[in-house]
Amino acid sequence: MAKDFISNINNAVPVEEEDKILLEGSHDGIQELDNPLPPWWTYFFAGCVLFGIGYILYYHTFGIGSLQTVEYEKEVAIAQAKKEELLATKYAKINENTVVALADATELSTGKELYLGKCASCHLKDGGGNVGPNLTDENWLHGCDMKSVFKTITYGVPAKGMISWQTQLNPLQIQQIASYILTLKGTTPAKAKAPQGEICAK
Amino acid sequence: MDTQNLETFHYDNTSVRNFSIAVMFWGVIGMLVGLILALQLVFPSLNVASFLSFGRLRPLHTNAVIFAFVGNGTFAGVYYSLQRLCKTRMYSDLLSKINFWGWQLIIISAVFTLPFGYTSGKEYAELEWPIDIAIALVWVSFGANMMLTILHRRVKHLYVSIWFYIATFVAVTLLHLVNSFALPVSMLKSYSVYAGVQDALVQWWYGHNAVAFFLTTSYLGLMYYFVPKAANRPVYSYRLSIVHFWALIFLYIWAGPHHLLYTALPDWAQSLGVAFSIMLIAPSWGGMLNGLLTLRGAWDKVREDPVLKFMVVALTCYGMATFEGPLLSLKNVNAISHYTDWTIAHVHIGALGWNGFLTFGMLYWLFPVLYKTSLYSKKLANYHFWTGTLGIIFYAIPLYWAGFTQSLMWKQFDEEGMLVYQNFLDTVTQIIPMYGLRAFGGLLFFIGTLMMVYNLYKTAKQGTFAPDTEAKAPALMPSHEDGYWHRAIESRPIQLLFLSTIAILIGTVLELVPTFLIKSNVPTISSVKPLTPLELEGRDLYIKEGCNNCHSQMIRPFRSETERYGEYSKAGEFVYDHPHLWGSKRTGPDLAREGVVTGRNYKSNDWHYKHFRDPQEISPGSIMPKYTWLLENKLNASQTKAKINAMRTLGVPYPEGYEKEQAIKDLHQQANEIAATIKGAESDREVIAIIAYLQRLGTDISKKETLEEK
Repeated sequence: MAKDFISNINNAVPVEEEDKILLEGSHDGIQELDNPLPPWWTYFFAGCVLFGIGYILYYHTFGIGSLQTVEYEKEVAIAQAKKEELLATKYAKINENTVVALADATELSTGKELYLGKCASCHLKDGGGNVGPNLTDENWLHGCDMKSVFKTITYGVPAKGMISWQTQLNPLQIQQIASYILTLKGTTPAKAKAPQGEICAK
Repeated sequence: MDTQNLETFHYDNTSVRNFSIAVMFWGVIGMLVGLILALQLVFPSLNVASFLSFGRLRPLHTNAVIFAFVGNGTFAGVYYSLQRLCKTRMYSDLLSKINFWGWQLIIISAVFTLPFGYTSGKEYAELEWPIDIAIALVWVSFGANMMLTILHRRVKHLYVSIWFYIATFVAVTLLHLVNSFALPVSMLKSYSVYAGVQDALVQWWYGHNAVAFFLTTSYLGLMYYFVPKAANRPVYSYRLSIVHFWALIFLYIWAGPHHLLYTALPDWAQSLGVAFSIMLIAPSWGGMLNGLLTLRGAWDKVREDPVLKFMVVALTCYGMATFEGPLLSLKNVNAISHYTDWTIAHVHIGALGWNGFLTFGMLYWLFPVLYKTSLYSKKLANYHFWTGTLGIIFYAIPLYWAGFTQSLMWKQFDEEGMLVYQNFLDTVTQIIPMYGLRAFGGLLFFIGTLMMVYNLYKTAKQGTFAPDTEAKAPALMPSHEDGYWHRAIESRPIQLLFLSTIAILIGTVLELVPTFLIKSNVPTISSVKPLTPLELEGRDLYIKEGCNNCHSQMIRPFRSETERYGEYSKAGEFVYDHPHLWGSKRTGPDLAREGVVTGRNYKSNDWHYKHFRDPQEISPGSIMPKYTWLLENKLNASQTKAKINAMRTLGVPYPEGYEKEQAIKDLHQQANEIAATIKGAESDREVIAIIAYLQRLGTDISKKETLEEK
């Protein structure tokens, strides 16, 4: 049965009758049959060739399909729109114009945790400063009030090496970190980096 | 047959036996190195010395399996079958000897250069330029020996195996010569003459077609001889062999760019790679069908005979791999599979299943013939078959799982549009158990191979080897053509060689030439400047240590990648990269924007220093080897001058005379600056150079954001 099936779909001459299609001559004893091309294979091949031609026409000749950079821009635009919507709804009240420092202990401890994970490599665990400035002293480069700190974390200061965190942290998390950072003011770090920027009253 | 005109001659069995022994010897070595590499991914502490570290050993594994194991397999099979198909001895015993010993010397030189960091950095073509020249010479002596044998044949028509052998010879010669074109700096150091996008295209035109012609057409030729021989059945369809032969060699050569989908390679070249890969499925399957259908009426034998069992699995794996390959070439599938272990699983279906099992089947058939005896133990061969088959399964399935899992983790965003697995390492530790299972699969396969070596050793011992086999055949007389049109080509080997060359040149020329000549393919970025002398030395160390075996430098235009790594890579960023270092696998994270200070992955000099010393201390769970020797070895700057000169010759715009004094001054100054930022570091160590290079990566473009088309 299986044998018949295989012979049928391949349009093969049955094994018993293959003498009829045995080609003359042999190569070191190897003989060749002259079975026809399996029809499904021929159509499949033709189909693949048509696909290949169609592919080039679709993407290049007629320019219907989007090539990679266009594809990318679309993907980013969708994500951007989604993000803006999120900022306008869920995080509507947490932006650089409205944000306020949190005082709740659990919020601050979340902030601390995030700070240790994201900020400590440059500002040290106790905020004493290393690659980044000291966060415990009176001197600030980009403002010491809640809104300024929130803004600095969100957008970064690329020219000076402070990265923008808005793709890794949501506004609430930035609010938590900024609130925690403000609690460091006046503490005594193990190794304090020399003051940078102006003395900031508020 | 006219008995009066019978000529007596002798087949050379010694070469066949020598190559067969070499197959087993290098097979065992190549697989053992593979096993060590697989274990290193689970236990990074196994990177016990610089010359045994993953980055340096991986090229040895790939070269040993491709060129030593499969290469010797091809020679063994060709030397056996060609003589008998042509009814003549190999044309020149001297050329046969040069072929054998030359090839073994090349492999030995690989063993003594690659682990010590002498590498061109071009994947599957890592051997340095003097060895490349040797490869060309030995390969051509093989080809000359083969063509001269064919020209002195006593049979009019060339059997299908020989068409494949000829195509293999022509294509591999072309691939090797074009891809290896390099400018030497010293005896064991050279720079590819191609840079960036062009180098990547040439490299993958080569890499892909090394698979096509070194691992596929050669073995299809062997298959067409040994399968009907072992099964004692006529080949299923002569017509199918004609159609799939020409279609295969014509189409294959175009498909290289599918290794560079979503990279900075121009879109048109990528699309050609996709389209031609899909067209390739049927011609590839033609070979599988002709092999499997030849076994019609002999399936009862397959149940009994280990030789045929190996061949059936080999053909099945060939069919699977040549179906999977084109699927992986579809851009949406490739977006998931590329840079992951999926690729590694895919190539091992080919290497272990197709090449490995066909080699095993061939050797189990050859040894009893060469030694005029029967196989020592059929039972042991059956054990080998099952151990090997289980080995393939245990190897491939965990890696497919690992590749798919890791890729999805790389791409996963949460509801707020943030990457869920922001730390690359989390996606690595997730798949370590799969790496463990893969190593187990590799171990099974390796044990199976050892069983075969023992079995064939015993077979040889119990038999007697005859260096020559006497045969008789009438001399070839001129006669009229008859039958199929294709018969005319089959009786003219030079024309066949010529037509095969045309077939592979069409795709080659149409893809490579425009990429080199049309400026718009690589838009210039004016802020991209040559590396400083220290960074150049650092880059050479990056190549020496084989960092590109685990780290890519090519960010694809996906949001999941630009969020993780930074701005996607542009063609113009790589114009001075001789060779390109885009990589093909991300065992570790991409490094294309490693130096961008505002990038998510930026690390301080101090961090890099500590991380090279002990990656596990900084990133617990990391599987990167410890590079303590980079902290100990002093940077050898004696070639800096020659390197800058060579780069300038290749078109990298270093100012005239820069190398004379200023370059070394700059090198020391930059090294001092970097060392000053690292606690306890000395400025004259290799690690400083490699840190300098890493901190430069991807930064040029951010200095000036304008793309200028010239």
